[in-house]
Amino acid sequence: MEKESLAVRFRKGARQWGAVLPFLSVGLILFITFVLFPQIKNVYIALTDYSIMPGSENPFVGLDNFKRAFEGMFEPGTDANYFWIAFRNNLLAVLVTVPGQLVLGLLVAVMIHNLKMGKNTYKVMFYIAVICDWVVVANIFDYIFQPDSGSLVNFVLMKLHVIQEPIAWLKETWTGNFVIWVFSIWKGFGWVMIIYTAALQGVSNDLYEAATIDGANTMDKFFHVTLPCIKGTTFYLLINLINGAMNIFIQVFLLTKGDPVGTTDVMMNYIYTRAFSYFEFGYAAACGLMMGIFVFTTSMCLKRFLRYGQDQ
Amino acid sequence: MKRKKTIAQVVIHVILVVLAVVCLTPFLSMISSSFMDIRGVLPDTPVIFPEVPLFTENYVKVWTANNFSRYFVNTLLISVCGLVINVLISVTMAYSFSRFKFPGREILFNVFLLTMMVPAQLALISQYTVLNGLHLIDNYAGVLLLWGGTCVAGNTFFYRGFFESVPKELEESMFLDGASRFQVLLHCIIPLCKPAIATSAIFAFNGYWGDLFNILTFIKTEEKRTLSVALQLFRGQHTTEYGLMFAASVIVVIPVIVIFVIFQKQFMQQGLMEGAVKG
Repeated sequence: MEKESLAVRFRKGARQWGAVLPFLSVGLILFITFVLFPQIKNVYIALTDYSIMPGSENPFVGLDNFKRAFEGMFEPGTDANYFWIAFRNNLLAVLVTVPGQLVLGLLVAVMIHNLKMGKNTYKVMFYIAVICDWVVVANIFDYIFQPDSGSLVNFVLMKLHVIQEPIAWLKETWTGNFVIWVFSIWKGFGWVMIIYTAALQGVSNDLYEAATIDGANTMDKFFHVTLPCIKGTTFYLLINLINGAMNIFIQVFLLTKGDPVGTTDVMMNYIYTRAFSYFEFGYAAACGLMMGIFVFTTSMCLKRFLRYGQDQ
Repeated sequence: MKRKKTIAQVVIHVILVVLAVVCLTPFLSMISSSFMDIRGVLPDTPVIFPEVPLFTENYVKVWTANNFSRYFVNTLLISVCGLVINVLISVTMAYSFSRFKFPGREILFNVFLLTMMVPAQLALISQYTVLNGLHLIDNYAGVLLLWGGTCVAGNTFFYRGFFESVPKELEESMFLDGASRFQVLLHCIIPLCKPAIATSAIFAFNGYWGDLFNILTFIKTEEKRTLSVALQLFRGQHTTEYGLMFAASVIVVIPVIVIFVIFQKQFMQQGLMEGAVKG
């Protein structure tokens, strides 16, 4: 085949762009303005002492904003210390809420899948929390975890003699974190359940019948037929849930605001507060950039690692 | 054997009912509390069922004196506009990527994928500076354009697979009959991909209705607030007026529940999205 000259190729490309532009232009312009450009500008903001006042100078400070997140990270009370506490809480959230949602969602999905009737009713009931506004469900959680002995959770736990005294759940570090985790799992497992029920429908019945003939019991079937068959879905959910737990924000923003003294804080809330309460845009952008790189690398590694496992 | 199966069914039902009670009691408590005059200290026992006669004054107060009727209209307006823009942009973008060949198409598509991997909220800071530069802070147009821009990557990705699954022969026969690209999109692709579009549209609406951070960050005037933001600020001002706060919460959440009940099927089709993502 004869190679086309550059001019011909250019003209052809231009014609193709001309044809697609009526469909592409609006979305592309909006994407560039509000997604791509901001992501790039974030890097610039992170390198300056940025001020949003019009006409103000934004002195270039190099990597100072990044250094601030490391200087004195082990001394209580420094900016860096709060940054790393928030980061720790994110990692803990990943360790607790991801397995929590995954296991609970899968168990409920398997149970619903095996029902003869009422499947849809249960699906609807477990899905309500997923679709409700965050602010509304946060209000509810705030209410049932109040420190009084008359709040729902304290009342039930005291009646069951699990605790003797009412607990001020949202006022202490670990109970506060615990409520945030429970909240995340409670709001999120319905989504996992829905995706798993769809995946379970795709598992062929023949496999179960073959396993029965081979003398497998229910547990064998679950571990050796069901789980391997929905492996792809589990990977998909895992990556999404880990991303979600790294981006945990609204729960903390609405329930504890990071109190007591930043010990229930998470990265997103820390960054948001730095930017829009203290107006330290440069420092916030630097923290955000580090966070973004961390999340991005983690999910890339995870994808590579898991895809590798899938091929085995 | 048959009896064993029946027992298993009953056991599953019992477990699921217990779990459902645990999950739904907080909602029941909210609804019941909204019909009671609770302020200051909590009652000694938690509210699960409301006291009769119902105390409806909370709703009247919230709807009129606290301006929630206004916020309701605001939210409805901006969510519907956002939804329309979302669908228009997503459909045209996905059509460009599935039916046109142009240099740089796959590079652009990969850029979309790349931006999806970075947490969206991180861009809030620089998005603020962009909107500030365009003088669109405290303006619905700013929020709508922003929503339009942020939906592009994910939705192009989601729709593309569905659009590509429409047989090319259908289109070609339409072209032979003299149809334009727009007509093909409107009369062939969109009707065939309606379930996918409906599913994603409902999730978009749900997301816009409950959007907190964009509105909180970009809208400043009180009259322009939406329900989520109003409720969040309301909560700060009336910390212990639980009855009032939950009446407001119920008002916020009722449309969501109604839409959910009507469009159950689309909501439950999340597996559909998963199929598209995997491919």
